[in-house]
Amino acid sequence: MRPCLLLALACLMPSHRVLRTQDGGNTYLVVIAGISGEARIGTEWHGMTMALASAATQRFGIASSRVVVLEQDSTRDAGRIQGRSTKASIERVLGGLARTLTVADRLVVIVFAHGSSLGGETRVNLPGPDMSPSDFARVLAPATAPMIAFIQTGSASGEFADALQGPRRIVITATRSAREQNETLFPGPFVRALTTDAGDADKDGRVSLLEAFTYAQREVEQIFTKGSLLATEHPQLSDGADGGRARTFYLAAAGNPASVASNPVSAAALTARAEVQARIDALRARRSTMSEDAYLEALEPLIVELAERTRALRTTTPSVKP
Amino acid sequence: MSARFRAVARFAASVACFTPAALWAQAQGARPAASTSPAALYQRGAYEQAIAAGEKAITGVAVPSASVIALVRALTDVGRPADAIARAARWRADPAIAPAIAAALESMGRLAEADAAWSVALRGSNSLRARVEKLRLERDRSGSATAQARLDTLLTSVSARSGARTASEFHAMATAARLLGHSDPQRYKDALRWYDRALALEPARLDARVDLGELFLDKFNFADARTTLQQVLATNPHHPRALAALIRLNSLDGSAATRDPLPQLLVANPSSAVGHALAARRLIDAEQYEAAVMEARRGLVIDSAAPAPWVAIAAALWLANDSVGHRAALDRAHERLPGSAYAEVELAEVSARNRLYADAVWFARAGVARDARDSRAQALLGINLMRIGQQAAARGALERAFALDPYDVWVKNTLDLLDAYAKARIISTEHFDFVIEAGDADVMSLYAAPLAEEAYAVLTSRYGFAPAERVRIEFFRSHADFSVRAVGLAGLGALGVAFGNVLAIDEPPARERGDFNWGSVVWHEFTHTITLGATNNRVPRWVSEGLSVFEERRARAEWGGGVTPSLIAAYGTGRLQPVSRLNDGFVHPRYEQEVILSYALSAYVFEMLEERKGIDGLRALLAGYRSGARSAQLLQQVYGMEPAALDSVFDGWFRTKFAREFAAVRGEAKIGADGEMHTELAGPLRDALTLAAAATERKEWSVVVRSAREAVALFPSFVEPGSGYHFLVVANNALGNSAEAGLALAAITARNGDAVDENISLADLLEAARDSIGAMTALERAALIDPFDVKVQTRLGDLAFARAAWTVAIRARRAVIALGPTDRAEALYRLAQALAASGDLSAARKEVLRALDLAPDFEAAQNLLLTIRSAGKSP
Repeated sequence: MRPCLLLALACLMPSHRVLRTQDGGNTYLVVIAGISGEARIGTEWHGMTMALASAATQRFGIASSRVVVLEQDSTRDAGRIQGRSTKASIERVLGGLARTLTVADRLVVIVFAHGSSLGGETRVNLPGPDMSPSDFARVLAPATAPMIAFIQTGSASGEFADALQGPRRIVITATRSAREQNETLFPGPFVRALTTDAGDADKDGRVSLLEAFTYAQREVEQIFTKGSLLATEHPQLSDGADGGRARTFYLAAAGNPASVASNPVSAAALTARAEVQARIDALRARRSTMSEDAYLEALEPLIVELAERTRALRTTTPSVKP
Repeated sequence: MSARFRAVARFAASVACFTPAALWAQAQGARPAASTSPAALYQRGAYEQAIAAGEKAITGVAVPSASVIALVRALTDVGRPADAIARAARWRADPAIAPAIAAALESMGRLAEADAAWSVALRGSNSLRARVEKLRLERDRSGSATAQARLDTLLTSVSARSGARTASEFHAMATAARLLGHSDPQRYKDALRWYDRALALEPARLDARVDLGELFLDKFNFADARTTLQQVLATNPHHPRALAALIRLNSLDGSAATRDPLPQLLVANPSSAVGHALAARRLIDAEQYEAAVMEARRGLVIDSAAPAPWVAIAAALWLANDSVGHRAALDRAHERLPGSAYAEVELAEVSARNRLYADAVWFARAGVARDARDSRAQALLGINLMRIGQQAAARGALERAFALDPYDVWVKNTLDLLDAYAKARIISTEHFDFVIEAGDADVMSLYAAPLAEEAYAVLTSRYGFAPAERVRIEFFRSHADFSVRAVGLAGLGALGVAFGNVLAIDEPPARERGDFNWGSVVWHEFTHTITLGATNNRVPRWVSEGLSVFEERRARAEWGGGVTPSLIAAYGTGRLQPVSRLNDGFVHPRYEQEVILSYALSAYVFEMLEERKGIDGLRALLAGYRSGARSAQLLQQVYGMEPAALDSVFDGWFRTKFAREFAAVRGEAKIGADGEMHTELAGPLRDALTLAAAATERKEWSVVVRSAREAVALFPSFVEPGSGYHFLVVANNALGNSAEAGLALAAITARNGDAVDENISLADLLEAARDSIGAMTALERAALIDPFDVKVQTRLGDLAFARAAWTVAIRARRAVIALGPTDRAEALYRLAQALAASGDLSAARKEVLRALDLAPDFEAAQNLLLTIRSAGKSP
């Protein structure tokens, strides 16, 4: 049986009751693909929406009932696309979530759509009426409590940063302004970073939004640099904290299974390990005052201690996530 | 910086506003049927007919002024000014005819009389022009600032009153403004505007159009200069000043001239001072200094004090090491050039053209001393100081030049380039300083540093000469920047340039992938450092280039290009110069490809010479050049051959060495659609390749293989795209014969140093065939051609690591890091792995800690750190 959410979406009337999480802290993923224009782009976007939907359930542990995919052609994969990416559908889905999510919840909206700037206003190209950044801002306005990450991967997306910014918002756009209107390269590497290990820069087994953004940004830069081309897109991340919020925002669930946490030996080892990590963070904070050699000299014993504690932890609890 | 931009932009804008083409076309279209009047014949450049018609006309009673003017001007243009003056004697007091008489007198150097003739003209309708010309003559004769000031006053007063009304008046004002541009560059804009007005009123005013073309040329606006001069020559193909300007233009922008304008000029006026001076310059380029002096003297027949021939003589004698003769010639030139830097500017340009950059600096300084307001002298001083590595002093001179003339594109570009140096990094090795854009420095230096030091070791040992100073190699990510560094302007076709101990070279990203091998360019240019240094910069171009290509080929089998069908075809059809005149193939190419083919051919000359006398012969040759000897004399001394004998011996050697290739290729000279002569390939090779191409389209792979094999057998060293090997790769891949495809790729990559994609394809095939050493070798070649390919570097690093080739693995992995990988922690970890495996635990420890700094939870890196620490403690 399909989750209630999907049934609700099928009739475009989501029930906020079924969206509520059991423990009050869930991640919701809404993926929107607009009018592609070209079949090639449509195929690419569809591939990316499906990759995200699969990763959401299989890698990040998000319940399928909390994953919504809207595309221009909902019949393309009726089993996994919940509706057409019309303005009305988007407003209903996002509006429903915005009104019901709690402070512990997190909402991730990822948009694949061409943007255009006509008459001074940026618009995202959708089947039927388009949507502007202010339309999205209006729909999400009630959601002041949950942390929201909004990612517009398409052209002319720069204005979303200003329109959607807020104290609990992370906005990622493929371009820095509405004037960058070429087809963007950003979505491919961004999705790859999220759905594979490629973006896991700190090797902690999870990819933060900052890591995914940084990965995609570098990939895009390299394409332009290697081709000696003038960059036609400049990805930007805006979270009001200089990347601080995005650094700790993961789609994947954190922590270990209850069995690990409840094992006193494992728990003690994890705590000890966390204490070493805290000392490493403290050293990093002083880094700008030190030469590189001095810094690495100071870092080495901490890393060795961390490595030894990790090894010990692996010995006692092989399944542990350090 | 911004001021610089604005100034040039304004000049460009004013140029863009000038659109005489439509008016000109209109005038051409409206032109009546060809007239036989002396004036019409003169206008068309039918000088002899104009003279005949004019002679006839002046015997009449009522002689039209236009006929007399046409006769006088035609006689002057064909080098018979004395006859012109004699014929015009009756009209000496006629203000309408006086300007033509003045021009005839001036061409003979009779300047006082010319001034008097202009005084007559003051009474006529050309009075404004007469006033301007009198002041010009006064300025040229005295070098006084007073004349310049009076010109300024004149221009101001005319502008303040009604301004100019006629084409003649606008032309006169433009002339005055151009002269005043020397002290106030804003006047150049006025000059442009007034030429525009003059030509709008009288499109057929050829002298004004030539003046305009010369102004464009002076400002290095080659495109507009060419268009303007061609407009003149379309009407009068023999216009002496237009032809002279076109010769200068061709020399400056490096155009190969199918129809050389110099003979045209000297046929039109066999006594032309400027024409003979230009001809002498060509002989200087060909090292024929005595002949150059004789040639220049022919330009002194009419005016024994004409400056241009004397400057050419001074240049030839300077290069011939005759300092006394040089000084005397220069003194003669100065007689007509009081307070002018003209002679020194020309001498600086000739010196730079002959790669005597220190001499160019010396002459430019002398020019500045004579006229500190001469922007060209200041510019040449700055540009040549840069060429000898004195960047700080260069900037000062260039800034002064820019202040004097903000419309000099060369200076503006060069100053922008100096600004860009601020973003570069300097990396030093034992003998070299590499100047590389900061973002590319770590990657480029990984390859450039060992390669350059290898070149240094090999070449200093071979030639027994080492540069006295450190060698500076500047790399350019942008080809336009490289081009500015080399010649001041964008659009240069070369890949590298050597100024002696300063080299400028394109980085791989400056060009299309697979377009060139920068490593071979480093080797090539450093060979110039050796040959220029060993000869005190007195080596002819063909020798220096030939040795550079020869040394490329000696260094790596795939470098330097081998013999090609184009070379064989051009040689076979006599479209390349013989050895004794090979320098002309470089400095005066007759068609576009001649320069590049001359490079290839000259290298074979030195291959043959080394076969005869070894490196000692080449050393003796360079030592001879250093002592001032010339090629003909040296080749006789060292190899015992007169020029003609050498031509013949080389011809025999070359045809024997490549007998198979000559049998495979025939060249057919044909006139192309562009009206230029081309050599088309014919013969068995072309037939085999044509068959292979047709069969490829039909996917008849067995036919492709058969034809391609035939092509390979006919011309085994032809490995450029479109060769038999390339067809073999395609066909064998289609047939699934990867081993055969691999063999063809191996043949290509063994001889073609640019073949980056072929190396990668070869590595794919070899890796699939479990030949990891072969794959690694192919990837090493690919990585050298394009060190910025992160996929190749990553793959090479892994292959080399697996084969325990630590040096290769470490370099490739360092390159990956320098390329800014998205997964930096992983890249650092892999480098640490390779360093640890090579035994360099200290470096490995540092790199793995850098990885763990980024990713403390990176367990593989943690383990490596623990292993390194443990190994470090082991006895």
